[in-house]
Amino acid sequence: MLVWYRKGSLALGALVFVWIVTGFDMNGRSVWIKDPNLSPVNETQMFLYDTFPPEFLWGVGTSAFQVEGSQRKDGKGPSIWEYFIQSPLRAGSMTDDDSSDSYTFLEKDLSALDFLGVSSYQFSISWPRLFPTGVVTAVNEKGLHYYNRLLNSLLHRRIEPVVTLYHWDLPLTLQEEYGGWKNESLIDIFSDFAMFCFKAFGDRVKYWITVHNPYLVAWQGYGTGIHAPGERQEGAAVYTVGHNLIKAHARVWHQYNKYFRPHQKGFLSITLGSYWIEPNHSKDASDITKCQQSMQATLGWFAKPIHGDGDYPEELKSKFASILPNFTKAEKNHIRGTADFFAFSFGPNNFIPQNMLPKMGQNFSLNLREALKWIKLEYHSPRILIAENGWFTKSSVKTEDTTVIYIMKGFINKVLQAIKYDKIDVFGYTAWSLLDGFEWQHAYSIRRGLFYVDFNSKEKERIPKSSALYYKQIIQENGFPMKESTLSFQSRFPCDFFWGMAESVIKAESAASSPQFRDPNLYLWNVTGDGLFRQVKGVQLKTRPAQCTDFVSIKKQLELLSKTKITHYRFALSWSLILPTGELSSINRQVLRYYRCMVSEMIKLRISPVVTLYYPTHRSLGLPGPLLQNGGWLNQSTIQAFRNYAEVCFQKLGDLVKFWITINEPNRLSDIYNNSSNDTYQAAHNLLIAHALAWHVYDEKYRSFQRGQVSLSLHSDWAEPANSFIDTHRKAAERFLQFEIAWFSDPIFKTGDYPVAMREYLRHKNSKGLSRSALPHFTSEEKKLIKGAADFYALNHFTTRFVIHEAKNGSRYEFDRDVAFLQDFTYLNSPSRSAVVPEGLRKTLNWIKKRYGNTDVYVTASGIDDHSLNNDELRKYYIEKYVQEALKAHHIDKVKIRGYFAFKLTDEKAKPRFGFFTSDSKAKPAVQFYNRVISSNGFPLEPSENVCDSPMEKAPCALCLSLTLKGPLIFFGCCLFSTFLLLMSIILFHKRKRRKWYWAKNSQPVCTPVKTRYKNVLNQM
Amino acid sequence: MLAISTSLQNEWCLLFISLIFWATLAPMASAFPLPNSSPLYQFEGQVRLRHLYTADEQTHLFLEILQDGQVRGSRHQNAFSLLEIKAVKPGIIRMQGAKTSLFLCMTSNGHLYGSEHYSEESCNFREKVLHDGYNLYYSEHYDIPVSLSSTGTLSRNRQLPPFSQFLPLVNRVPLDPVFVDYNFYEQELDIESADPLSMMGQAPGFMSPSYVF
Repeated sequence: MLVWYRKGSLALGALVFVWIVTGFDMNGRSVWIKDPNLSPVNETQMFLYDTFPPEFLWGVGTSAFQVEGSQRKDGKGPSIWEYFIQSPLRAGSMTDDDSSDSYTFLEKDLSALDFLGVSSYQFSISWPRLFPTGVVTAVNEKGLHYYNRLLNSLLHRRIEPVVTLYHWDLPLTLQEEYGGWKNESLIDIFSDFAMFCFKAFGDRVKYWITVHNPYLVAWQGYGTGIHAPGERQEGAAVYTVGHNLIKAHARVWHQYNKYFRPHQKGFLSITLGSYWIEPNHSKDASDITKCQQSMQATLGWFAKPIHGDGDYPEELKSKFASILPNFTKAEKNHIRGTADFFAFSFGPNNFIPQNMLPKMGQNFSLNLREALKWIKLEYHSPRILIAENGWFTKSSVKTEDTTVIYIMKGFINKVLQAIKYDKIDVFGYTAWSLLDGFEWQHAYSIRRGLFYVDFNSKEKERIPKSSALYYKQIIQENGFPMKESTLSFQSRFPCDFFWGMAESVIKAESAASSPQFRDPNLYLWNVTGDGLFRQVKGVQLKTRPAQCTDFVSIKKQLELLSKTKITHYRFALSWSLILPTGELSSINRQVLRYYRCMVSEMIKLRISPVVTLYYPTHRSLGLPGPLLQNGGWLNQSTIQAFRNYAEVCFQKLGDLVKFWITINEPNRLSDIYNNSSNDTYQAAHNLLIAHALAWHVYDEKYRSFQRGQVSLSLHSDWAEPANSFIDTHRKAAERFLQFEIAWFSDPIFKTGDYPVAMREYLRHKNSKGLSRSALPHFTSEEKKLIKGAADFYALNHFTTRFVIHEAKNGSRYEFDRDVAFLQDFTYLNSPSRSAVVPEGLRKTLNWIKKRYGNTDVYVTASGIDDHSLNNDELRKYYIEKYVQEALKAHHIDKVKIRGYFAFKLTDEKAKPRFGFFTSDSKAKPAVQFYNRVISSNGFPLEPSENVCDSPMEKAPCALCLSLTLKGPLIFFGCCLFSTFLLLMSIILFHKRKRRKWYWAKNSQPVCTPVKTRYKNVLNQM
Repeated sequence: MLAISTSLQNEWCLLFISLIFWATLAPMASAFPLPNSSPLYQFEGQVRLRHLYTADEQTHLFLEILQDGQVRGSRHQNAFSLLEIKAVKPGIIRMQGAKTSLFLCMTSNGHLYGSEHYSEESCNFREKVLHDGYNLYYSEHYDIPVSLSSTGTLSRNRQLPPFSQFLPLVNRVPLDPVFVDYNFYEQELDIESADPLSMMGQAPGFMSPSYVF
C-alpha cells in the first residue's frame, strides 16, 4: 500500500512537472512540433466536409481609399496616398480616379452584396472625407451622408457592418503638420475622430476596427517606403510609429468602453496581419525557435501588448533594446486587454517584400490553420474574426479567376478545420475583397475583387467573377456539407469478381538461370589460387530435365503472388524478346517457354493470368528492333507484324490464358509520337487497326476452342472542369475525354470511326487556321473490322485531371485539344502530384456506360505512388476509397464492373513507388489490406460472413498446405515409424522361429534330419 | 548358427528395403532448394547491383555507361555507374547499366561501349577474382581485359593496362526519381505570384503511371 502510494505521488509529481513545462510555457512554439508518425491520410489533415457554426459571419471587405474613388469630390480632403501616388518618385504611373468609384455607385456595391448573400460587410471610413484636415471640427456633411446611407442600406439588408476607422488614408494635413504617426499628437487627434464616429454611427455598428494592419502602416509606410507616406527611415522611426498606433488604439478602446459600450453594446478590436512560417527542418529546435522569433517580430509586436500582457515580446525587446520604445507600467496596464476579439488579416500584403521580412532562413507558408493555432496558444484562445483573407490575380484576368477559387477553398477549409479539430473560436470570415480596386503599391496591376470592374468604363459595372459564384455557394451551403459522393459505402461484389494485380512487362530470362542443374560438367574452383573455374576432364554428371523453377525470376514472382489473395494477375509479354526481328522466323522459343512456365505456375497457385501483348513505356517502345528502325507505329508493316505476333501468343499460350489485352494504353502513345499531330493520329490509326486484326484472329481461329476474351486497355483518367462556373471549362473537360478516351473507344465500341466531336473540333480549328491537324479516315472495310472488336471494356484509371480551356496554336495533338491542367491542392496528392479523387472512377464508369452501353467493364490498372516503404497509408486509403466507388458504380449505377486490378505488384528501383512490394520483395502493409478487401469481397456490413468461400474446396487445401509445410517433419516421422515397425517384425519373427526351433529340438530329438543341418552349414560356408 | 544366418539375411533385407524407401523419397528431397554455394552467388543471389571501382595512385574512377552508349570513368558514384552484374554461366558474367539498361560490350579491338542489344560474343566477360579482392574482367570472346585506360593499347599481351582491376562496391547512390516530388505545404511558396502554390504549372504531358516503367 505504501509502495503504491509513493508510486502514485511520483506519477503525480511527474504530471505536475509536465504541466509546468508545457502548461506554463504553453506558447506558439508547440504549433511547429509535429508528430512524425502522423499519417498522411489522418482525417484531421485532410479536406473537411462539414458546415460552419450556425451564426457564422460570412463577410466580404473593402477599404475606402481602394474603392471609393471621387477623391476630390464633395469636399473630401486629400490623404497621404493621393499625394504619395502622384509624387515624382512614382512617375505619375498611378491615378486614383479610375478606381471602382463606390462613392458614386453605392447601389451597385449593395447589389453585389445581395448577390453574394453575405451576412457581414467590412468597410472603412475615409477620415479625410469626413474631416478634410483630419482635425475634428465641422464635419463634411456629404461624406457623413454617404456613410449613413451605406450603414442604413446594410441594416436594411440585415448585413452586419464591420467598420474600420483607419485603413491607411491619413489626411494629408496631419502628415504635413505633424509628420504623421511618428508624432504622438496623432493619438489625440485620432481618438477625437473615433469618438465622432462612435457618436455618429455607433448605434448601428456592432463591430469596430480601429486600425487595419498597423504592422504594414509602420513597416511599409515608414521603413521600406513602399506605402504612403513613403518614408525610408531607420528602425527607430518604424517602432515609434508602431508605438503610437498601439497607444492610439488603446485610447480609443478605453473611450469606447467607457462612454459608448454601455448603450451601444458593440465590440472593438484592431486588425493585425501576419504571414505564416514553417521551419526548414521540423525536427530542428533552433529552426523552430527562429520561426517563433519571426512570428513574435511581426504579429507579436502588436498582438502581445494588446492581446497579451501589455508589453512587447521579449524577442523584440532584446533584439532592438536601443530603438524599441518602452511602455511604462501604467501604459502596460492601459494597453493590456484592449481588444474584444482578435481580428486577423492573412493575405498577400503580409508576405512582401520578401527580402525585408524577418524570415530567418525559414519557409513562408499559406497554412492559415497553423497561424490560427498559434494565435490561440499565444493569446489565451481569443474569439477570432478573419478580417481579411484572399489572394490576387494579374490585372489581365477578368472574370475567370480560377486560381482564386482554389486558394479560397483551401483557406476556408483550413478555417473550418481550425474550428472543428482545434476548437478555435472563429466567428467570422471576411473574403478580400468585394471589388477590384486600387491595390496600394501594385496600383492597378493586380486584382483582388470577387467582382470585376472595368476601370476605364463609365458605368463601372460590378461583374461577378467565378470566385464570387464560388463564395456565394459556400455561403449558401454554410461550408462544405458532406455529399453522397464523399460518403463511404458498404457492400460486396459478386463472387466471380476479378480481384487482380497488374504488373508491367516481365522480362523473360533468355536461358534458365540455374545452370548448375543443367551443366553436366564438374568444376573445381580456385585450385591454383587464380579464382577461376577449371573443368574436371572426363567427368560427366547426369543432369535432371529442365523445369519451370529453373527460372529464378518466376520463383520470385510466384513467391510474391502467393502472399496475396488475388484471383487474377495481369502482366505483359515482351514482343521484342519473343520475336527479336519482328519476323515469325525469329521466334525465341526459350522466351516463350519462360512465359508458358510463368503462366502455368501461376495457375498452380490458382491465380488466373491476364496477359498484355504489347506494353509500351517511355523507357522503351517495346517494339522489335527492325520494326522500330522502320518507323515503328508510323509504318503500316508494323500492323501486320503485330497481328502475327498476337497469333503466336494465342497459339502458344491460349490454352492457358483466357484473358488477353492486346495493347496497354495505346491512347497515351501520343506522348511518344508527338512530333506532329499527324504522326500522333497516324500512329493511333495503325494501333487501332493492329488491335482489331489481332482480335479478329482470335475470334476466327482460336475462340471456338480456347474460349477466351480479348480487348485493349485504355488510359481513362477522369476530367473535371477546373472551374465549373465557366462554360468553356466544362466543354474543355468533355473535349479532353473525347480526345483522350473516345478517340480510341468510339471506333471500337460504337461507330467504327473517330468521335464526331473530335473531327468537328479539328475542322473548326483548321478553318480558323489554328491547326493543320486531320484525323485519318478508315475505309469501310476497316470500319467493319474495328467496330465491335473487343469483348469487354478495359480501362486504366489513376486520377482525375482538372481541366482548363486554353486556346493553343500549332499542329500538335496536345495543342489540338486546347486544354491546360490545374492541380487542386485541397485534394490529397501523391508525391508525383497525382490527386486522390475517388469519385472520378465512378464518374468515368458512368460516362462509359452512358456512351457505350452496359458492357462488361474491367479496371485493369488503378493505383498510386506512396513514398513510404513500410507504412503505405496513402495506398491503403486509395484502394479503400476507389474500390468503394467501384462498388457504388456496381450497386447504385448498375455498371457491369467485373474486375479491379491494383497497380502494381512491385516497386521499380527508381521512384515513383507504385508497388505493393518493395523492389527487394518485402510486402508493404497495403498487401494485407488488399487481401482483407479481397477476402470479404469488398466492404460488407458484416465482415465475418463470406458467401463466396465454398468450404468443401478450401478444407482439403488447408490440409495440403500444412502437409507441404511440415513435409520434412512428417517424412522423418514416417522413417522412424517404419524403422520401428521393421524392428518389431524382426523381433517377432525371431521369437517365433526360436520357439519353433526350441520346440522342434525338444519334442523330436530322434527324427531330426541330419541333411538339413549340413545344408545349413554348407550355406554358411 | 542358423539364427545368425537368418538374422543376417534379414538385416540385408532391411537395408535393401530402407534403401528403396529413401530412393523413392529422393526426388522429394531435391525439391528443397540447395543453397547457392558458388562463389559467384555469394552476394544476394545471381544479380548484383554494384559500382565498379578502379584506381591508380592519383585517380579514382567508377565505370559508367552513358545514355549515348559511351563508356568512361566517373570520379563519383552515380546512377550511370551503377551496374547490374549477372552470371550467365560459370565464371562468365554480363553487365548492364541500371539507369540506361545498356549492356557493357566490347569491340574486337577492346573498345568498350554500351549496347541496347545483348550479344554473347561482345557482352560476355570472364570474371577473375584476384587475391586482394579486386576483379579482372576479360571479354570471353576476345580475351581482352576491360579497362578504363584511354592510353594503353589493349591487346592479348601479358601486361595489364591501367584501370583494369576493379573492386565491385555496394551502391550508396539514391536512384533518380522519375517524377519530381512535391509536398504542397513544404514546398517553397512563390509568394509574389498570383499562383503561389504553382497549381497551373503542371506540365501538359502528365505521364501515365503505366508509362513510367
